[in-house]
Amino acid sequence: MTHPDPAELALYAGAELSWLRRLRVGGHVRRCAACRWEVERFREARTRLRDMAWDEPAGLNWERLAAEMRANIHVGLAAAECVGPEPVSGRSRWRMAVTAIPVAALLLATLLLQRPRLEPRPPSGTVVLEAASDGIALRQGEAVLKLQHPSGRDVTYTVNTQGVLRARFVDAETGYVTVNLVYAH
Amino acid sequence: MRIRLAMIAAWTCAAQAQSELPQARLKIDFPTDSPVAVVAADWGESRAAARGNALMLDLKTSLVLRNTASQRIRGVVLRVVAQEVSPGGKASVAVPSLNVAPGETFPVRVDLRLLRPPAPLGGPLVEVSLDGVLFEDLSFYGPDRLESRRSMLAWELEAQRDRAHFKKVLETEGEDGLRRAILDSLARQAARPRLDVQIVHRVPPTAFGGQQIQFAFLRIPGAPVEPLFGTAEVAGNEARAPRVEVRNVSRREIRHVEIGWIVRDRDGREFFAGSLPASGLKLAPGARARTQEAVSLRFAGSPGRPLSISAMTGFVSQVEFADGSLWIPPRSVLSDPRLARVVAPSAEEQRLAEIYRTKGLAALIAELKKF
Repeated sequence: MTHPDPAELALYAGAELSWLRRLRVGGHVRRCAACRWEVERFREARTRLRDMAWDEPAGLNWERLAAEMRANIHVGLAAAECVGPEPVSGRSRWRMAVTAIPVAALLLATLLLQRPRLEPRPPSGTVVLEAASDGIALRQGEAVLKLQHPSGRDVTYTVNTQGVLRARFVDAETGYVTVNLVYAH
Repeated sequence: MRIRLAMIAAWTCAAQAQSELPQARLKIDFPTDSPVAVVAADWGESRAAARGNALMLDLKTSLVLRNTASQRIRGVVLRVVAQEVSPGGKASVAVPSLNVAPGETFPVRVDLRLLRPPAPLGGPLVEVSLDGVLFEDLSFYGPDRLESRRSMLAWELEAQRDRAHFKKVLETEGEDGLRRAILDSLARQAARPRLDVQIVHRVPPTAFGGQQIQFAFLRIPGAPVEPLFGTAEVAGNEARAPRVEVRNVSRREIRHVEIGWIVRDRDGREFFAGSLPASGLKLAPGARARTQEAVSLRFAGSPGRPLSISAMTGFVSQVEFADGSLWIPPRSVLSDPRLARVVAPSAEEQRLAEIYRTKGLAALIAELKKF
């Protein structure tokens, strides 16, 4: 089986394929790390686009968005060249399709019902550090200090038990690695 | 008519609620002998707005700094303090993996949000100052109030280690080999399991009802310390009061140790939870030390899969000797499949992978040749 082309993966990432094609592409994506990575990048790009559209429609940077898409397609094509085709029998494809629908429904219900939350119940005056999708925050009573980073980016969070929380990402505008830190002490 | 008046009043309030932040509320304070100078500071999109009963301040700053020293700069840390907003609380923005020649400029962005109860405002709300600069010869300048020197030195040593690795791959396996290595790094970055985390610092010693779980330790060849024993009190997704005992197996005095912390949940999934540092040590050769913090860490895995900690693993991730030199694990140790799966790549590896992703292989090779 050959890899789906980038356009098909982009449509898959946005759930815009017909259900039959979605099953076929989904089956491949589950087994193929390179295509899965590509789909995740497309999803991130969509999330960023949506966030930007909500926050600042006037400032939407189409050039950067286009560069991001080009970069993802480039990496996807390079990855596809590096990995060989994966043989899949027609029988297993149908078996997968039959089992995928109830599993997908179950997963969706689970996602909606069981989204884990970090419920903060600190005593008053205690310093709490938290990582969120758009930044890392220091909270003390009603006061909050939050260092923000672009949501949807590849952000690496690390904590240490002396009370330091870090968020590391590559700033898309400067190209530099940036590390934001908040300290509880 | 009343409804129309109410709408007009609401619109007027909303228009007044959001206003530009006076620059007097923001202060940049660099020492006079600083090796970096502020060339420009753009506070353009900074705003203050009422949000319910609180005052919300959005600070979006872009600083352009110039290297006024005589050597290349490898990293900078800016200290950000909002004393009125969070007494005792502070933040910083670090930019490692730099390669800024004397006279060159580089940007640093500070993007922060403050939320505070409404109260009369006194002096500057936010003060940005220099905490440290690391140069190419690994010398350091700055007050180092946030212990930035050690962090920047570790990032720089990791950068040197990982650039050497990719250069060697290019030399021995050619461009295709380098492409494969970077794609592998990108795939690992995408597949690495992530945790949401919350830290409560200095938790009071109340009844917690957790169970004591012992650390298992990975042996790192060549590490200057040996972990001996470690436990944490664990209940569900929360771990409290982790403590680890280590012994100095080197011939030099040690002043700082960090133990990497991996947690495993009941489904067998492993995550990098953070690190357990022990600072201010005077650990002579053969001596033992213990790290213990009154801290609570709560973790959340991916949506729909609540995390329940069942086991913990530790490994030596950083050691600082009394003379200020640093030990970090060699790349061969981090290539161990178990560590490679959970430990994040270095800042430099992330930067190099991003260069490949956005600009291609030729740009990556050109970047490697700059060092």
